[in-house]
Amino acid sequence: MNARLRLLLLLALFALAASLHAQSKSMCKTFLDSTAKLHTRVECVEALFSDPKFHFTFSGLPPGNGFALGGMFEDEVDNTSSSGKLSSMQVKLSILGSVNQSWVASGIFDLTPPLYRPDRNKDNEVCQRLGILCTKTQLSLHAQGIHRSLQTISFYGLGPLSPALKHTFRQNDTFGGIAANLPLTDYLALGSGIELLQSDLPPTTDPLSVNNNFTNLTAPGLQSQPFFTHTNIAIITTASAVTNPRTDDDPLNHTGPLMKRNIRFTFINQAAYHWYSAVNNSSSSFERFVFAGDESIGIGSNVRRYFTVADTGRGFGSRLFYYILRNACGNGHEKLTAPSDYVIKVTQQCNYGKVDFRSNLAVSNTGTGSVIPFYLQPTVGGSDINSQVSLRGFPNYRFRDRNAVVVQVEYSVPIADPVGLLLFYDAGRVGSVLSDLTFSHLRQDTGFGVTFSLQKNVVAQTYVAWGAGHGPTLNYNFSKLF
Amino acid sequence: MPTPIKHLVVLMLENRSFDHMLGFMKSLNPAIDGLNGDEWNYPARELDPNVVVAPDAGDVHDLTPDPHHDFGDVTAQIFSSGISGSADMRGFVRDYYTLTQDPARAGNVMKCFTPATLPILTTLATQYAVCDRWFSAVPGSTIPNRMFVHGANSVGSVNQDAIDAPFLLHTIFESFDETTPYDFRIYANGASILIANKYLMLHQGKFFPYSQFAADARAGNLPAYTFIEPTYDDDGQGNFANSQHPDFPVDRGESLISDIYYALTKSPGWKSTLFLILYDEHGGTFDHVTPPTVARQPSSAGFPDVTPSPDPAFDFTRLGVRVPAVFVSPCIPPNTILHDRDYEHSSVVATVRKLFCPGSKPLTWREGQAPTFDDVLTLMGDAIRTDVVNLPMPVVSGGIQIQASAEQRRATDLSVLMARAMQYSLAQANLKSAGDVSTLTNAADVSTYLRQAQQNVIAGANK
Repeated sequence: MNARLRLLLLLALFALAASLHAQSKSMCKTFLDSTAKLHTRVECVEALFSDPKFHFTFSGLPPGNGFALGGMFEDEVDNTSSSGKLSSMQVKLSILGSVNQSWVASGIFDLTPPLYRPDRNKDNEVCQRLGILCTKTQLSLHAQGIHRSLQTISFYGLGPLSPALKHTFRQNDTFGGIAANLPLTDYLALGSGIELLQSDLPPTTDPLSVNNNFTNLTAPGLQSQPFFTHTNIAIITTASAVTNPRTDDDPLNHTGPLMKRNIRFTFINQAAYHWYSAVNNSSSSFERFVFAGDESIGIGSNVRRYFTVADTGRGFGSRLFYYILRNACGNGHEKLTAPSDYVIKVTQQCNYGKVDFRSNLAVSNTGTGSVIPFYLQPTVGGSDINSQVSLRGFPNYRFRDRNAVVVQVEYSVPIADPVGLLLFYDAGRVGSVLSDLTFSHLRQDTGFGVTFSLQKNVVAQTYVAWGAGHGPTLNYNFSKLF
Repeated sequence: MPTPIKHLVVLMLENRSFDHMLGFMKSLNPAIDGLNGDEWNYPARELDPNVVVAPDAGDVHDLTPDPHHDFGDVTAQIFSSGISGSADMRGFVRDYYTLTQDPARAGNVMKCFTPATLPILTTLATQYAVCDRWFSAVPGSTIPNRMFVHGANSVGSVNQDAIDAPFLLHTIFESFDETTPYDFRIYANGASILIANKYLMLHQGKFFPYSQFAADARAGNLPAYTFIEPTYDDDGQGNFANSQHPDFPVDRGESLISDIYYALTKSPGWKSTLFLILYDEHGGTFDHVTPPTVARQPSSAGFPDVTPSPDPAFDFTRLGVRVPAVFVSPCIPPNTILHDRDYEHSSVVATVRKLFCPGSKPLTWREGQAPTFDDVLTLMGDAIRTDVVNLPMPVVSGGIQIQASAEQRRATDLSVLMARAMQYSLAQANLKSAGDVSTLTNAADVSTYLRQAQQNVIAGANK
């Protein structure tokens, strides 16, 4: 039995397990009934992709390899020690493949030892306010082993000015390692990990393939792919703040300020230094500094006075204002009463979405005479091999070099679960030297899109972006869930 | 005199009687109708000596298995010689014996806390006001009593089989419509039976995570009426039960009370806030005061009926066992004792309506007749207290009770009932099912189901 057939059988097994599990759910029992309602069918599909233990998955395959489908098994065991401290173990096994015969198989194990009580964050008011971000860093261990076989990765040459002619190559990666997070304070943690990495670039006969159009000089690492040990050390900071003025508003007030701000800030930043040591081929060894930041602002407010539709006026602007308020501060009154009766009351909480400022910087360093394999160089454009979006106005992997920078501003707001609206601005560039990365050199784009969430996580986005100089670019991204 | 109450905050905990929690406060203040220490119950077996109350309740381990408190059991606890006999409150031990088959363990329902072992609730009861005449609304279990605190009705239910009642119940929350400028919020950490309610399903914006409560209080974001749900069960995700339901640790509930108190004292509206700590029913634990009857008065003839219970037949003219009720406000002087009226859970509905929904009609005659407590704030002007009581730490007598993880432990009956009620409500509202409750086996699964069900309600309400 060849490897591909074994893979197909394994995929089928996962799919069958996920399917059988989901079919036991009531909404899936009537899926094929002619009387079944649309939302029941949609919910069945959602269950197929989110049920505990066995479920289908469609993410995790790097972009450019088509729509991937597979199965995932995940299990988590939480325990409480006799002294009330929590521990957890989580296992995830997945395999998925796409129509172009790319596939990924992975196994992940996470462990949080019993060091912390569940009320660890109890006294942190800001933390309480932010709900899910309340979790302070905990000591955790992570182990993973992954193999991926990718049939189509794009390559446009190296450098910030590479021509827009797409070449492709195949890439097989096998990597695995362990990593740990060690909290130093409530808001500062130290991370470290070690990984073994073996890549392989099988040649293809495609006229536009990399192996037919590039050499080891123009695409270092094309000829042979060394075995790497990859170690890293990182500093991780998390901080949050909220500004929500302290007022004692009278519910009977019909005048005065309508709102007070309720703005939530979160700052998550990580600076890491990586060592990639090529075994038996020191000319491919390199080091890399990587900074990743996500500064987020949740925009909200609280109502300070009694407000009815009659207060808004009849003009289009007034009605739009009222519509926005009703959705942002909605408490469902519109379901039961006529819109004209809708009221917004004192202390009601309004949510207008979130602004994210993201930044990524990768700066590589090599010894004299050493070069970085091209397939390990960072990319900018569309999504990268880890499904991180960068310059969305450009194709996936559009620019590649030893250094890269990306900054993004993104506004997202839920419209109707599971769909949200996305507005974004991206800027980024690659370069062989740091001076290539100055702001004046950056390529820029802007656009809008919609997001799709599952279990409150954005799992996919599709967008239109302008910036490449040839009109709008339509693209999509599936987030990497493992 | 207009009431100074602009914010009413109600915390309803679980399954403890007045005597069980605060009866021995009588040693601090003889005016409280508490325990002398010689109150007794008939023994489990006839030839054994009577079982006398004991001041040695522990925060865990005493009440496993959970004492029965369905309608029939409560009747047996109140009427030791049967419903035709006197309501002598001496059947608690015998009723627990039918469950434990252990005469020594059956006597555990006579174990009571003392001011030393329940320091936070006792301190607040001493420093502010304690009511020794607050009775659960129904001589039955949790769900019907919790429905009464919201709707002065239980839709005919007296037991934990109320699958459809939470969905159908009309509540005081419906009166917070466009006719009143006042608003309400429900803070919950996970499960709430209110999420299964038809009206509240459409008003998901009124539910807030409890983790947000302290910050909201500090910023002045608490509305006129706030209802706080405790955490009912361990969920395997770091949330532990603090409802004080037997046999979950009582000290966690004490911590919850303490947290809410300190959060409220930091609120800009503290001087016009009343914090009511209440228990839904007695949970099978002993109390010596016979619950009163509540005959319908001619003055409430025009109010809607309370849905009668067909089986067992019951018309809701008798109250349940007395429960603790502690009123906390800077407008209440220390050592206040409220015992001139027979309050019951419908009093919350009646008071909320009087304060914040004036002009609207009572939901039932029980609400129409229930005494209100809008007048318990007696200090005015310069007399309003500026002190913040320094609460002691809770007493931990038994350590962590639940050794098994939520995955390894059977879900509580209450959690399962909530899940069944949610399943019914989702189907009735034509919302996405969260699965089949009958297939759930452990506490973590039930907790996951309830969270998923809530997500489905939110998603459905937004569509």
